[in-house]
Amino acid sequence: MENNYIYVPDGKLRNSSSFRCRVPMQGTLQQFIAEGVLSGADDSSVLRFVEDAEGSRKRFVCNVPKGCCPEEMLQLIAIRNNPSNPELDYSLAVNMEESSSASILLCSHTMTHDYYVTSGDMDVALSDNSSLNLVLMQNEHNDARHISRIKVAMGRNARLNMVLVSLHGGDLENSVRVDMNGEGGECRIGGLYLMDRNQKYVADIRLNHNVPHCHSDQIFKGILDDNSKAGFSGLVYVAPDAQKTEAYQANHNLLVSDQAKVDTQPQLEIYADDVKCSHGATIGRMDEQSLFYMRSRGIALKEARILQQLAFVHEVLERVEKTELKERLASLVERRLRGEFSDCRDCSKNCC
Amino acid sequence: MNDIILNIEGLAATIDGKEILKGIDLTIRKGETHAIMGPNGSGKSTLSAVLAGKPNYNVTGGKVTFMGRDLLEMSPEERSWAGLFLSFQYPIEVPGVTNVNFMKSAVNEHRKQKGLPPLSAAAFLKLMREKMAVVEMDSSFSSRGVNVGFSGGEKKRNEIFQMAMLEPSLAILDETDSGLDVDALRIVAAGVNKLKTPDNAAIVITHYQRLLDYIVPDVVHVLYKGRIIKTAGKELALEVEKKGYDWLIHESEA
Ligand SMILES: Nc1ncnc2c1ncn2[C@@H]1O[C@H](COP(=O)(O)OP(=O)(O)O)[C@@H](O)[C@H]1O
Ligand SMILES: [Mg+2]
Repeated sequence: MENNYIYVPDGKLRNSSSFRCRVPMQGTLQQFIAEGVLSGADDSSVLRFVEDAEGSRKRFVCNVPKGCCPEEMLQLIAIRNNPSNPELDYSLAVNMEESSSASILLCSHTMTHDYYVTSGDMDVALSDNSSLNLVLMQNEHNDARHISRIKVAMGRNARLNMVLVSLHGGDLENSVRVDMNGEGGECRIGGLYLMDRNQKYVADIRLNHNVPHCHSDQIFKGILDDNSKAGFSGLVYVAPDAQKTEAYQANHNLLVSDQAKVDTQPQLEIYADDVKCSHGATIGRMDEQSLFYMRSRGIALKEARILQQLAFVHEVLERVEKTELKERLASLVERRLRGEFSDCRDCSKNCC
Repeated sequence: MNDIILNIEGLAATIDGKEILKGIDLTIRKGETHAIMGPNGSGKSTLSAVLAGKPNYNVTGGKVTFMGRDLLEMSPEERSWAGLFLSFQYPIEVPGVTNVNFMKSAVNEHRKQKGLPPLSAAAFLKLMREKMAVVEMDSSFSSRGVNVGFSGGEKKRNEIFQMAMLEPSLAILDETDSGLDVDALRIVAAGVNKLKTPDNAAIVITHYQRLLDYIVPDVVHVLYKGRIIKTAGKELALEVEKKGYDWLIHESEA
């Protein structure tokens, strides 16, 4: 097995601590969860996950203390590489104490083409005045199934900027539930899914505006090729006294094959009267006019199609705040759309 | 003759089964500028679109040779590589693709076809700056989405900028003057003139003499109901400006 970024000495996993990354991003702390075993990051770093068993279930917790604003980003790389135990279940928790802020990147990879089922909960608690940049990058093989259930509770003036990048995976299910429980909260969620072959993707989003004066803004965009399928169901709920709520939700899909299918259901449930809310969904195909325009300038059809797809997803990637991460993700997305992933037998090259 | 850039013989075309072009003959040689005039709906844009290879246009008859090759066999991108350029009457917006990236893809694809390596970032930016100056375009347009939020005049300037970048052998300017104020018209026309060489040619589609005051044609054609009903020198444009098309239509129907 030849790896660019993550490698195992002797080509074999003996213990999890043998993982490391050759090209980490600047200012990034890395930790690994290999088959549910945590490694990396020394005890001195404030920003890190530690194991905190919850009965028999594996649980990893990252606690950011009050007022603490580490500059480094924490990258947690979750790896599946042992197909003899395909099912794995663990949970993560991120606890942002008052007035803290942090950036966390979670990457999930399968290292072989075998069948894996990974399921995990993630609990995120944002105390008053705390702020979290959370990016999830999923890049798994076609026989892998991954179910993520993310629950977020937000306090007063808390801010969450979450971006879910589903680059590749056989069957990805992301459910997100956000409760905005304190006034002045701001929640941004961006989602990007790129599916082809027989891949499946489901996003199930529930965003609850339980109190007044909160702001939420969601955009999910997907490109579906071959026989892939995607489902989006999003519900924005505005409680009876949650006045001055601003809530936006959009889901846009680009079908690049005739067989790909999308089912999208954005919903608003509003019980307050002084609010600004909108939702919308589209399922579209390539824009023939702009393809012709590009071709008339000498951009070959294949390239024109890629440019159009890159343009389509641009808006979601723009939401990633860390520049270097944004650039890496953009280049991964481009390679993915150019079909360079399938050429490459070893998916582990394709990580942030 | 090897100085012929474009030769059209008996070109007929339909859209959705409706016959729009009904037998066009036109020969354009190196160094020439041809004007095509004619009332709205005559088929001027259809002719441009057929020449540029727009899908959904059905060529039902005739032959088109461009630089010695069968144009109708070529894809739109091949036509561009061979040196054909259409300045669109209604330029298309391409949100999310910046002018820079758009032109980089286009220029490098052209270079690839000529067996040249891609331009370095620095060389490309230099070229871009140089060519933007041709139409007095502000550099802030480079980083904006192609034609997104551009005014009518800015879109037309952008078309001529693209033409300057690609240096075509044949430029078809479809109502490049519409929507331009006097200053913009002068800038765009001056840009087109700067790009003119004895080796290339242009087809200027317009309703108005005022553009032809700047870009002086060698030949003027009037297109009506899918046919060229009159071909003459540049004085024809002045006559059309004064008298309209009715007399020509009567003459052709007589
Ligand atoms: N996409 C189209 N579908 C159907 N008819 C069209 C289309 N484009 C143009 N036409 C028709 O073709 C004729 C010629 O149009 P056009 O080439 O745009 O004329 P001009 O540029 O001379 O004003 C008109 O009758 C117009 O309605
Ligand atoms: Mg027209």
